[in-house]
Amino acid sequence: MLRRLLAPQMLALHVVAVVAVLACALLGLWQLDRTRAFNQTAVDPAPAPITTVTQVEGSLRDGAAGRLVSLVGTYDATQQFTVTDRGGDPWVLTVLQVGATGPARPGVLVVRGRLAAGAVAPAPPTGLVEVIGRLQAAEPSSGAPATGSYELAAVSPVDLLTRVPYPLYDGYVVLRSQVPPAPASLALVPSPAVPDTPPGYVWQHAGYVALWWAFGLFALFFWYRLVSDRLADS
Amino acid sequence: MKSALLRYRVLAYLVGVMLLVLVFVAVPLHYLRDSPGLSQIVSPIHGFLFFVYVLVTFDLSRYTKWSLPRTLLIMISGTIPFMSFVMEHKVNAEVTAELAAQTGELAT
Repeated sequence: MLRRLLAPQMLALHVVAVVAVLACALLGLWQLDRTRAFNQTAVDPAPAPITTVTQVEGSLRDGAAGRLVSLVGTYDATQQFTVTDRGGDPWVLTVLQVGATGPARPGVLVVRGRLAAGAVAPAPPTGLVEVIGRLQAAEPSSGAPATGSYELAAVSPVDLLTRVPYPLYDGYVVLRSQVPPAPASLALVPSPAVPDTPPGYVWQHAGYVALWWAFGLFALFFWYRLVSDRLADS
Repeated sequence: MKSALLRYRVLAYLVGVMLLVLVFVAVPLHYLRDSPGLSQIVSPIHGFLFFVYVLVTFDLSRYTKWSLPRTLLIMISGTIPFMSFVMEHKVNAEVTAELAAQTGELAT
């Protein structure tokens, strides 16, 4: 019997069976990985320089929204606003001009933090600052603030185009860390990383795990029937 | 054998139709129109039905004594659009003829 089991034709069958079962097992593991990907927390890639992910008077590049970005420049103290309707105390938003010197440097809207109740918005640091924050897509425009008003209802570069005498980048940045450090009267607005949603549904991939392993078991069963049939025939 | 043939035919039709829906409607919607809803529902159902199709094909092959390559070919034809219909037609004609021959033998 052993000799018949090891005949060349039978050996080929064994090899095919092993390959098929292994392939099904691995494909099942691959789908298991994809099922687990749903429970993963997001990990941020290193901050990207702002100039590489958004454009002046253009739009955010693909996949840029939600990224950490780094920028170096100077705050424009004359372009500081409070944003209302933020579920509690207002946000403080200051335009930061990217680069070291020159009046026409393009600006970025930076949400510096949430103002403590009753406090007056602190002036931004003077001189060159380094900012790391999360880039967000601009909110829909709610109309430019009235002349002389420093209150905004939406965080949108479009709303400030008529107020700011230089071009603006699309989107806005929620401050995460800054050198020199941000003043204590501003609490950072939380901006957690949003995990990438893997394609499909959890149950879909879980179902594929079961299906691949079922195919693997079937291949094993198929092999067993073939071998026992051939042994019975000879 | 007759009921095994019927089971095979039903599953071949189901898998064939699901595959056409998948290839010509759900997948284009998913990748060309970026609307994955339908394919996320149809794909797993098709996967499960294909597994049942493989099982009933194997079951039928026990009666018909098909060779291994033949059995595998019939199983694989379930994954090729339109092919499952062609194969189902062929298998049905063949097995029905064989059944008729068997009953003929019994009658004589």
